[in-house]
Amino acid sequence: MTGPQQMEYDAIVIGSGITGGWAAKELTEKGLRTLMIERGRELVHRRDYTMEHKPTWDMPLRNARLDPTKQGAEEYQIQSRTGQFRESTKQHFAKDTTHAYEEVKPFTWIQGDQVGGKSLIWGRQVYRWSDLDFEANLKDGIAVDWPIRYKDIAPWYSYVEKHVGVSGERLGLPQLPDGEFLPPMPMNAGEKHVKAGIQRKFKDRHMTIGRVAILTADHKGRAACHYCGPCERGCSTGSYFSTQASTLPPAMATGRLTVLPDSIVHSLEYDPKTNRVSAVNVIDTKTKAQRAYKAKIVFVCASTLGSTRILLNSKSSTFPNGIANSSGVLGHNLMDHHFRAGASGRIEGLTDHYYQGNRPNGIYIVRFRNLGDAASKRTDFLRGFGYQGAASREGWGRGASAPGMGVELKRRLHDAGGWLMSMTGFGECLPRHENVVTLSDKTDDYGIPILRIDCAWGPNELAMRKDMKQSAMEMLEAAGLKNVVGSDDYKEGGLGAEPGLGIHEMGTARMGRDPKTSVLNGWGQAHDVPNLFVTDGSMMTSSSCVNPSITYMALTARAVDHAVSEMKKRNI
Amino acid sequence: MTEGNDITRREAIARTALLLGGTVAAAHLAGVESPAWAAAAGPSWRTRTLSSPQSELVATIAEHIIPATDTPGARAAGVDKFVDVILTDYYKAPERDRFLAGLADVDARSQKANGKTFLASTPAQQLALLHAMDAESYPPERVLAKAEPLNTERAKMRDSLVRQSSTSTTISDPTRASADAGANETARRELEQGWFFRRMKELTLLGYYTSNAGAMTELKVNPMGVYRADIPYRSVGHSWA
Repeated sequence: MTGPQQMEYDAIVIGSGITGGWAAKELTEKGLRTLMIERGRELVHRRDYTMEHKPTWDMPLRNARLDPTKQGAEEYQIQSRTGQFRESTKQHFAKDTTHAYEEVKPFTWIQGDQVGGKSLIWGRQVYRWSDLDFEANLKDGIAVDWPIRYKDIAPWYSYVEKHVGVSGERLGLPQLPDGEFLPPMPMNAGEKHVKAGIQRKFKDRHMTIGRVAILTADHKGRAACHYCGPCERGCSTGSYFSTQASTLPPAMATGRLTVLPDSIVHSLEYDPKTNRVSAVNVIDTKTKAQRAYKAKIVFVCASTLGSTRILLNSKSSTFPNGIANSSGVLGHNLMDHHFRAGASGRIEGLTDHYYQGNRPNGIYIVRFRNLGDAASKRTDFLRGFGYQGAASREGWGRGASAPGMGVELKRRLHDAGGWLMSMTGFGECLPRHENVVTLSDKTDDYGIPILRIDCAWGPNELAMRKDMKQSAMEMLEAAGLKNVVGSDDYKEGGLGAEPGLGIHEMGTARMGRDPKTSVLNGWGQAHDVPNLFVTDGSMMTSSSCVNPSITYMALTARAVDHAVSEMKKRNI
Repeated sequence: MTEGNDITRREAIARTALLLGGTVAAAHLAGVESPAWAAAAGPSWRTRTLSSPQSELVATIAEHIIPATDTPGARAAGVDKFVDVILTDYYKAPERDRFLAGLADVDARSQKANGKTFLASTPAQQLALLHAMDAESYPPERVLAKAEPLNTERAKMRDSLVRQSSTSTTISDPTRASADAGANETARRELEQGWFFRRMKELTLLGYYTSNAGAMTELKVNPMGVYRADIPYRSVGHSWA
């Protein structure tokens, strides 16, 4: 990755995470000379995975979770709210001291600050959306209708899945369409036990192994997973999808990609004569030097909130409230998945069963509420939720929660403990106008206004959480588990299950059919400015309840195909 | 460790070595001494928070909790050094001071019971005192379920100590009950009383089972290489570290 030799390109991609990587791959493979701009540092595949395979005893704090009550998180008071922030993964999160925002109500914005963005630390769960999702707003009369349907995206799901490599089990369910799957990972004995119990009692509830962007077989020059466990430290064998492993190599191989790290985008320049983005204003984060890069098309893939910030800060006489914002909806309808409501319990027996290897995946229970039929209809909330979870046997940690010491304790802890099963719901969030991000009066080190985030769960989410907890408890009880305990970590006005923590933030530059009520059309193209595309989570019109990243990937590849076709027709 | 597991491990090492070029995997799986550990075990290592007598006190208590048997105990695993690192680089001042006060209280109780410091007492006297503290530190389950402070502490510890699953799901503690605002004062006081010993035990287990000795000699790290979802427990015969 070298610095730019030039100031003009065919295409510019802002951001290098999951969607920026895809945009760069597709654009360069279609012959466009492309500049990819990343505010964070360069991070080289393999070389910079400094904590990969490091034994616990080689870490001074033994891979402790770093939270605000401890030392080691001083510069990460927001990032350390997520349990993923640990001694071994800290280097893949942005410092809150340099990535500040205003939090009107509790909202946790997890940010990456490196080439690859959050593709290095994402949860890797991959689920297709269905028409249950794409038709939801229309049927419920909420927000605006999606301008696309499943048939529009289905071939693009296949296209990206074939490149990514997704392992999973085919279920044939309309609400969770099957994809192009590598062999599924297996369930352990505890999980199989719970699955059988749920099946006996609830014919409509399907438990499967997580569909995951982790290779269970060698795929496109990348090796099958070696089950070391913590993907988020980086993977030298490229066995999970990241920009570094999956999209950057083919983009670089074209010879048409230039990556520009340590460069923050200040704003997009708008030319009213041509009605085009005419330049991208960039500040070098090391020298603070300013530069303007030009291209025929611009793909904004800087993460939902990062992209929204850039658009809001791109003001002109035509667009005084941010570029492509004639509708005024830019920044509104912020969504995330609400989670941390579920249950756990103790599986009796199965003590002659164990497992070997560290499976970086869990189980998934498919949505079973509000599927369009009478049986699944709820009167207390709209939409639905799925569950993620896992079973495992207790380890030595259990020794600290009961009396005992000496040879007796050591002997007891030599054996594996009992089986525990835990699951948490991931619930759909409705788009609501009052959940909004705006520009603050405060600026960052580069003079760019920081974001002011004002977002909270609404009555529908809170009603759904009760069912997420209750249904989890009844499933575990149906499977015969003991000590079943339901939980809901949400605290009104506090931390625990606040928006943002799901790290599925989306919706602030939504797609729609009508330029008066949406920012983007069905191709991720700005209604107002034809050479401007936004293809990260900000484009989403509703949130579904399934993890969104594969949908972002499919929509990005589809958007590039459309953009290049439009360029060839000289429409852009 | 059973012979079957030995074979399993060799298979796993061979497979991983193929994938990764050997060195990293071998260090991980075969328990090769690592640089950080070598530094901590070396002659130039000094405590930064604990005094020499305090460090010796920690090592002695830790060894009573996890003694040497046919495998190394807490002292050989360097739990005292680990505790010094945690007190210096992880705990903030109030938590550190509370822990140090707890150490001082061990000596105060020893003086009262035996007229001697803990270290000057006989091993039998030391054990008697620690068993008494252990019993006090774990009130009946009824109390545990109701009391928020310990449950919060336990949930945090679980999160901090036990890397459960690598999915984005946080595996919560099934024994955790919601905070009960009405938890009575007596229960709270009982829990306050046991804080030091529970914390000492947690740090001992964490320091021991994540050390080279604890994770590779007493137990074994769950090896990378292949994932076998459902195998007979006897083919492993012990808990993964």
